[in-house]
Amino acid sequence: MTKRSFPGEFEQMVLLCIAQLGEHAYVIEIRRMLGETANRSATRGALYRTLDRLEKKGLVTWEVIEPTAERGGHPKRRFQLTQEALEVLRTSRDVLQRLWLGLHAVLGEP
Amino acid sequence: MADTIVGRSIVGDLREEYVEQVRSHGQRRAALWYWLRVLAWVIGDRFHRTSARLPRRSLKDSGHPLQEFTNMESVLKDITYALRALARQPVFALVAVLSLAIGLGVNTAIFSLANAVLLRPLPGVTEPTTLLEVGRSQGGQGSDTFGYLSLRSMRETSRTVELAIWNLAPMAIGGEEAADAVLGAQISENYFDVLGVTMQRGRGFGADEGPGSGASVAVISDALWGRRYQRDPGIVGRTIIINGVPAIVTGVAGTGFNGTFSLMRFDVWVPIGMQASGLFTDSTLERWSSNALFGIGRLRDGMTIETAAAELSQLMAALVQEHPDDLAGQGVTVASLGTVPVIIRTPVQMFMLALMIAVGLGLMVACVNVAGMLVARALSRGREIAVRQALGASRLRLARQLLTESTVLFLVGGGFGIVLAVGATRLLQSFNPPLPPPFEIALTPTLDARVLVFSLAITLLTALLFGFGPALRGSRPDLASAFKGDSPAAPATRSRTRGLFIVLQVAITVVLVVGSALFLRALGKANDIALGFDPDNVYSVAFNLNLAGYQPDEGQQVLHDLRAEVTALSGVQVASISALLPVGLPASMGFGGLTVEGVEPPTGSQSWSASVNLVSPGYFETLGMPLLSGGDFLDTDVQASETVAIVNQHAADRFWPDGDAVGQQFDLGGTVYTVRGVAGNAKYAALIEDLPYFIYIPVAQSYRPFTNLLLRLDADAASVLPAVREISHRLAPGLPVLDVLALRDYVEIGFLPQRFAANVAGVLGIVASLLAAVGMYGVASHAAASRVREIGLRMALGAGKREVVRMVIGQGLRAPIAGLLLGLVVAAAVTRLLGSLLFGVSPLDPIAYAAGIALLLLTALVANWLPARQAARLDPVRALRSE
Repeated sequence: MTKRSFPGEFEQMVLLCIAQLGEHAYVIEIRRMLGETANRSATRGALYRTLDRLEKKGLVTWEVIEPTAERGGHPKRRFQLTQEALEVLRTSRDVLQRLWLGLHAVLGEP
Repeated sequence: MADTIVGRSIVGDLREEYVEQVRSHGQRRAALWYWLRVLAWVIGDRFHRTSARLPRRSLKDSGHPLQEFTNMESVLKDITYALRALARQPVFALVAVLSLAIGLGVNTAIFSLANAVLLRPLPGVTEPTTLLEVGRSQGGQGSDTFGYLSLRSMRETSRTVELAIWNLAPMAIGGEEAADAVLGAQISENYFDVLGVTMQRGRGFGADEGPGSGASVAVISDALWGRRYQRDPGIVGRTIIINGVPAIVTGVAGTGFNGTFSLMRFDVWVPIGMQASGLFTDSTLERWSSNALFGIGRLRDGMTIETAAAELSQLMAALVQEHPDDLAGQGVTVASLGTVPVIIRTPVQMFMLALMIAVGLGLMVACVNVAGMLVARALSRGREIAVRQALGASRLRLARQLLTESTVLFLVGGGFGIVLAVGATRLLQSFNPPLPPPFEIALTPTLDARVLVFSLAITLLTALLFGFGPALRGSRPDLASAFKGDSPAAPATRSRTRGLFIVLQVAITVVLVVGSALFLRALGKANDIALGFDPDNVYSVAFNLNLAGYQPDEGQQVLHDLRAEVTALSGVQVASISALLPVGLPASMGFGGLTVEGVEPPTGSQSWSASVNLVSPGYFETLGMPLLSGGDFLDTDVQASETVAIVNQHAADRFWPDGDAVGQQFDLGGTVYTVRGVAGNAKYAALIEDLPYFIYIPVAQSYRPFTNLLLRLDADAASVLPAVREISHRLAPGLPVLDVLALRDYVEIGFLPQRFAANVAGVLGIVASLLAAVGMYGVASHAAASRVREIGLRMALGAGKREVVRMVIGQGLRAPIAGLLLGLVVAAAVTRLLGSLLFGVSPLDPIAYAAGIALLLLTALVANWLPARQAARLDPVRALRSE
């Protein structure tokens, strides 16, 4: 394991949502996916702060999309994962998979 | 929001979601959603910026209780949750919201009344805080009207105040057929300038239209312009008839300005000295001794009330030295010009304060009741709260949720309270006691910004005060009992809390009930006050002969003929003329000081102060007032004959203690009178007053055109009035006949504060008693339920039903009796403040207190008896098996 900081649970969820949404990784969509798929209702403030933190850690970048009339001419940001983010997610998945090994009986699953 | 791409994109995200909300829920809900989120963002963002500056250790980035507490989005979630929770318990919500709506609504309505009468600045004037009321004191007491010459002298010489002069004057507007009786005022030409009243049309009065100029001009009110002239755009320059004399309208006063008495509406202003009958003649203006005008003023730049008072007092003292006979004992009082004149300001303030305290107590009872219900509700959710605590929710977080729920409840109650207040203020606006026309009380309580802010403030204050305790209590459940599912068992602390609430509720209810009983006793006592005359079956018809332009000789003849013809009507026992109505204002005609040979006036005065009325023969018989010696006036007591007077017993005893006053002489304002008779003492100005020296003078010897025809009837007034009107029309064409007033109704105006207070306190007492009964029943039921096994055991061991009932009631009465004792002590302290409002009834009147004790004990007994009866019917076997 490298010395990079391991992202927290919520940060990982946000990263995974960005990965899942691909070209549609806008804040509104990320928040919707968190609520529907992860059953995690996050306040707007918490989500913006998390995205800000992930950007500072070098895990996400964003680009500006053309504003629309619906948005009153205000710009829209689309988020992408950096290579480092992919590394972090891969590492996290591997670690968790190793830790989950052989726990079916404990969970009462066949 | 920072003007960066990030900042603007955040705004854009919110707008995009707003558009979705509009599509899903409509414009209105979307707008509310949007602004709530903006608010949440602003507050949350501010919090985070502040917390980011603090050392890392003192605040974590997420999960810190303080952050949780102030996270606005979760507060919004709590609000939504609270509304849903209320919807799930409709009975609880209904009872709580109704109690709060009544308490908050009544408080708002009474505050709107206090606002209209005392707090709201005088409408239509500028900078009301620099306006003054200048009054005349006599012997250092009171604040009464002034003589014109005194005011004029001070107006010309004062460097601290710009003075204006005015007096009220009933007027008739219009021609012979459609005369409108209105309340008008005669004013100095600078009146509108001093008050800063803007004319919406035309102008006020010019320098050449002042007192003594004889100018025939008028300014009318906005209300009169609409009511009588249909807002005719050509009103300025139009000629109208005032008291039979043409006058040119120079202007229409700004909307909202109706004079300087908030309780009365003025419609016409004319210059002092305008030559119209019924208004001041030049001779009145030239007498130092006539005191009939009000002084108002505006502080000059840099001046204060204190400097103004000092200067005017000095100026007045110099005048008194120059004219000792006419101005003996006179001084100056200076006060801020309020909506109510100084002379009645303190009683009005005390009355409003007493009302606010009464309704405030009612609100407290409602709040205590709701607080008790909130505690019970929070504790019944012990399991839910215990689970949340076990999963990591902090106590502060839980308390916040419970506090949010109670605040939402109070705000909903407050909202309905405002709806209730709207109805209540309309009721107050229609309150119109029978005053002699054209006087009428104009109450205009409205829910303006100040009243709405008050309503919101008391709603939030009561929400905090009465929601905080239950929130703290509910956020600390007994975890062990909660997980075991032990409910509805009541731990000792829960019983103690609810018991305390009952003590408070009962105490407040006792205060309200005792207060109401005291006012009712005062009303009863007022009815026993010896008036000195019999007002029943006596009616008054007001006339103002100047309104038809009669000269004194003609007016005297009209009055004489009117009395003679009306007396002859079937159903009329006797009729007479009187300038003044008994037990009312004004209390006296201005005749100057009284001197009696051989009787020294009080130290520092040149003469005695006496009240005077002008009456015709038959006055005493009409009012049922005894003549103790001598005789009544005669029709031969006219201008040319000897000047005679009748004095009251108080005057006779003071000035002629050794013998009969009849035949004695005194000087009144420079005229010598011979005493014709002595009348019994009576009430003259108010039901509670210092007995004055009272003098009656024949109206035929001193004509006053504004007068009252008094009739004692032996039949229903309605059958006589048309005949009186017909006689009046025939004898005095063009003279408007003003409404008939039953003297009993007029006298009872003096009881109005007591009646109003008794009604308000009585209603509140009943509502408070019902709430207290509900609370006591709830506590008794829970207490009985918690002792089911004990009761079962006792019954199994042989206790009878009576013993069970006694046991349950005995326990249930402890808190109410404690509340009763506390309430009696508080009532004894508070009712001392009622003072003269009680008409001599002692604030510790035993009957009033006995009534309070009886009502509360009865309520407590009934509230506890029902659960006791249920407990006595328990099956002991089932009870012993119960959990």
